[in-house]
Amino acid sequence: METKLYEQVRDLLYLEADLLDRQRWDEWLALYTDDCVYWVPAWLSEDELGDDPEMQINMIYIVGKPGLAARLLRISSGQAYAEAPLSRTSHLVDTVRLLDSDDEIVSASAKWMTLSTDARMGKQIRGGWYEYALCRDGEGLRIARKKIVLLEDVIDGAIDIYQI
Amino acid sequence: MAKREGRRGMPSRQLIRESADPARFRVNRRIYTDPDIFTRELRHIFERTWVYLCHESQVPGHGDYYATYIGAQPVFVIRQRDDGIGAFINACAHRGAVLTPRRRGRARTLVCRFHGWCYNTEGDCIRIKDENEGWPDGIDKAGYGLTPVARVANYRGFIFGCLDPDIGELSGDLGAARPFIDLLSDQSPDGLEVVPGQQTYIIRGNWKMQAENGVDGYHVTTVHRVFGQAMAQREALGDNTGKRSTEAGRILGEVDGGCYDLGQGHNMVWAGRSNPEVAPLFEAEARLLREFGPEKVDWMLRRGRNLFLFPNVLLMDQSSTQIRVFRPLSPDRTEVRVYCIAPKGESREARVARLRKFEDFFMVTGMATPDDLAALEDCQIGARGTQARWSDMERGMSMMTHGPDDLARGIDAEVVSSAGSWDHETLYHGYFRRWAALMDGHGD
Repeated sequence: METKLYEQVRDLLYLEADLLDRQRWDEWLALYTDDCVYWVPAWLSEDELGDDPEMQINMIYIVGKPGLAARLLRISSGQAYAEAPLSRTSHLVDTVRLLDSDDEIVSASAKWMTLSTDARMGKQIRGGWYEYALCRDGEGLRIARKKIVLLEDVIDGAIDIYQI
Repeated sequence: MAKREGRRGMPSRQLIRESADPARFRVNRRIYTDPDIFTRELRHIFERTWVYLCHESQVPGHGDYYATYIGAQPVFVIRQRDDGIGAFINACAHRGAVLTPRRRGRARTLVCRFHGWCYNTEGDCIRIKDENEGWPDGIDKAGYGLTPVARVANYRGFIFGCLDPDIGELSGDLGAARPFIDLLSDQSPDGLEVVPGQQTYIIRGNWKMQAENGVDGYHVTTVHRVFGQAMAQREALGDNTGKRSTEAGRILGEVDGGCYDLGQGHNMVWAGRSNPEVAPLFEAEARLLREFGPEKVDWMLRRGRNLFLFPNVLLMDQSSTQIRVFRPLSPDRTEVRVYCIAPKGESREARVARLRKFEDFFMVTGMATPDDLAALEDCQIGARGTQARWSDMERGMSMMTHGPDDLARGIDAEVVSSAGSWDHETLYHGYFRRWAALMDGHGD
């Protein structure tokens, strides 16, 4: 049972990464719940990560699908200076761990690394951790909360949601 | 321009071509790419003018320090025993190791991690490890204090330093920028605070391009149109109502605006707020009207402003409030740090709205700043084209007025020139003139 759940979680994380790389934005968005939280905390100092998203500056803090949809509109519009042309990306997701589960929520973590290439910025490698709260939805799982820890403290260039 | 330019020793004023009749203002793009110019900028500009360091709320108590740079020189700012604020070159007197282990921290005694020499917050050397052994004539700690930044001054909470002891007073240098800084500092009777969390990023562009982009109103309806569209969609889907509403009117060019040359290289743009009642500060309207005249409160609540203080900081009060401080790394690389600055004591609702709007627009992980960077970096690439050398900075010359307009006069801002559109480029003229004068050694 645990093995089946683990595989289900892992497959969802792999699917999410692959949909971003293939720029299948609508399918990616459909993985999230309507009231999802998408959070990339900022570093408060060299060794303290933000821990109060409401009252601190975050790199990204989106509550609810319309906020994610707005990001996708910008990326896919062809009108955003930084995103026309879009970077090519390849995510590697690994070290998937099942942390906790009950009847409603499954908690998991993973490590990620993304290679991006872009005409202006060249080749860039970024990486960090993911923490997920996945909501049971019938037989499947949807993403209720995703926290992305970005290791970089000084960011070389700009970052959008499909690059992390 | 086929004529060959001299490589060295060319007066910097020749890199700025201007005339009143015909109205011309052109800038040689070499100023963004030439390594010799860059080296001279560090010496003649960053080491000879008031450079922004930090906000006083970032060093609140005795021993709180903030490490930064003046041009290429590492410095740190520290709150001293008498509650004053000092700044020192960030290098141990012994062998030069940096003394601050972090960007910010608290250390009433700064201990060099290399050989253990210690300094107090006044920069005095208070301990030399094994001081009684080995020095042929003994060693006197009194001769090994830290090297102070020659001048440190605080204007309304904003801390500046200058490496040149002979510089004039900060308040005189800020001049007509002061009333516009006051529009921020006066927002709370308790002062302002930098909110926890920050972002640091590297741009592949010259530091002057960052300075210019921060007060460029002309690009907003092109570069940020997509931001306006994304916000409109988000609101249509029922997100961000009330204070969370985004003020997209300025992006779509539906508001009035203007720009000022403030003198001494400082300048600013402003645009009317399309829906001022959603601004985080609006809750303070009644109190502000009791404290200040209606002209000043109109500036605070009804006009968003980007203020550039030469040479290295932008203070922005738009949908959110930002300190954007930058330092030159090389001709084509600049480090930028952004902080949200906010009035102390504002409501939780206002603070949350301020922070979310900040993340939307001002972060390099947001939906607008990446586009600014891309445009700026494209200009840096274009500037390498030696056969096409001159940037046109003439827009608005036929319409500008010398001296303050009525709005500036309303807050006693003795500006050098005024323009009735934030799309105009006349605000840059004083900035380039001061740049050239400093580079030629007679700017101050």
